Amino acid sequence: MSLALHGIFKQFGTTAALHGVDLKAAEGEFLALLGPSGSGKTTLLRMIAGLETAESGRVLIGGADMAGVPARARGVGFVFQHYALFRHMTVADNIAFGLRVRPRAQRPGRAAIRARVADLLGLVQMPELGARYPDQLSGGQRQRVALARALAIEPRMLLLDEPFGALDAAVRRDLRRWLRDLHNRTGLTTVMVTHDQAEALEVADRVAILRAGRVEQVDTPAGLWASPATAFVHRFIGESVELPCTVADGLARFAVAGLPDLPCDLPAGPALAMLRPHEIGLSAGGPARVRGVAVAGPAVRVEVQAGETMIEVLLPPGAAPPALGSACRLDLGAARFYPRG
Amino acid sequence: MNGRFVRPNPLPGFGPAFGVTLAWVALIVLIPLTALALRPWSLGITGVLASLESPRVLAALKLSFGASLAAAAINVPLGLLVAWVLVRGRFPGRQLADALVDLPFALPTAVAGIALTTLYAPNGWIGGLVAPFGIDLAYAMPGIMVALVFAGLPYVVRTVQPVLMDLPAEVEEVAATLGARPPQILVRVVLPAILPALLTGFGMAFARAVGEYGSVIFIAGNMPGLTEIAPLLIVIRLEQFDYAGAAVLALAMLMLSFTMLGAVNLLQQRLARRAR
Repeated sequence: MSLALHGIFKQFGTTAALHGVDLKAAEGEFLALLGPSGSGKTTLLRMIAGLETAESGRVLIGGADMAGVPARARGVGFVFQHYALFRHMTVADNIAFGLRVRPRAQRPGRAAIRARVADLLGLVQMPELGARYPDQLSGGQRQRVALARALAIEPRMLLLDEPFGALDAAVRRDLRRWLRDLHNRTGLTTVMVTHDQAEALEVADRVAILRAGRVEQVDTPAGLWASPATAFVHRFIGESVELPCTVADGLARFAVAGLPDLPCDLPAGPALAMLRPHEIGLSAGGPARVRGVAVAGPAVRVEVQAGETMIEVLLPPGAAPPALGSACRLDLGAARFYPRG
Repeated sequence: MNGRFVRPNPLPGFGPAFGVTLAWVALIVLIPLTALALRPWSLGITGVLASLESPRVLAALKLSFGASLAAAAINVPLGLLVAWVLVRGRFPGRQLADALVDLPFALPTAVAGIALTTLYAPNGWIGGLVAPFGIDLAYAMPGIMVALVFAGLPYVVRTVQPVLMDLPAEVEEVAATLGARPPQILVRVVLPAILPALLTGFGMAFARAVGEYGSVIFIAGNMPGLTEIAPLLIVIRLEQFDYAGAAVLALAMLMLSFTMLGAVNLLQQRLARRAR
């Protein structure tokens, strides 16, 4: 089911947590909410589920306004970072919970519930473990039980709050691949909150970047990577080299000595030139000096000193490392410019 | 027992600690209780039985244990409610309310008894409201119940509160997103998690009510066979220098209390094992 948020505003005490957030997710889409802690992404997710109320703004699920609809009637599956499993119930009872609490008229029979639980246990790849208690499972298994429990109610939408945040790196990688695979099979609209950019970019169809209660940019992972809308997004999405400069008459002049002027279509004023380390070209002879060379990994990492500033450059795979202390020239032609201050 | 007392025990200083514990428990609990258990038999078995079978003693025991069980049973849902409001609620004056819960612990029982009696007597604020309908609160069964509920409430609140705090709100939230209505969340999610603590609270409130003396004698009216509690009867016998008779009653109370608390503990252990 599709999701739309219009002008969501929320205040905690005197500090605003969300300043008029607009966001959409199409039917069957996997949307990630990515941002540092305190950016309001979890609050936003809880609002979609009905666990939190907005001061103003509207939440629409499948086109229907959710104002006044309690969490239990929204039909969304919610998965918490720390699983929130019912410890006194077996895995099977946990998964069956959402079916058993239905009003008698809509409740499936015992046999139907048992069959559904068995299906879901198979789906989360732990068919043997229905009789275990949550305490007897590993973290990754617990989170898969939490997912199965959320899926049991045939939700209209799946909401995941840092679902892999409490797991170690190897389990995380496996589980997010599995989650993407599950999404491909079920086609369930999914919103996932995370602070891990690699996770968001790998799993989601589109990523919304949040900062201090505002949406900075919403785009596909490729779009975010290729054209970050703001300096914050540029910094958040990957490694960045930042060089302050001043724009006048369509030319950017760098504060660092020895860097050539570059054409720039920003209005006159202070600006920031940003590049990925691999987008910087390096050639021999020039005003800069090679100060460090690290050859570990597929590409050579070079530290270059221009004036007083150290700049990191990632050479293309296979390129010969320059000699330490040799003179060199930087090509910053790929720079993106953002207004500063 | 085999294997538990392996030497050398890895805990540093466990030997002396165990010795002191044993001596202390013996001195404070075991020896006085043994003396109590031995005292009545100077009457001989027939004397003990005759003393127990008098209608006044039977009525006092029935009242003490019946009213205490009822008071503890009332305190369980009420104490749970208070604990839940204090843990989950955010309202002005919460800290004050939290501190007020402890008052029955701290107040001398006689003071509580006098306060409750002035309130519930036929000419008191609350007693005056129902007196015109011919209902007696003080100097009757309801008064005894009020005093016992008052004394037991903090025990239930203080045993349930920490367990409720440990139960993450997320568990209740996830149940809501799965479609559970609030009563279902309470019965299926919250209660099973806190049932062992509730039982402990019940046992402690019950034990306190059985031993409660000071506040009850002010409000009960103390009519032999009707509103006379067992601890009072013990005091009366002591004042008449009937030490053996007092000890008979005390021993009966001790055994009844021990049995009931044992049963509560057993049930709790079974629950704890099931809840893991």
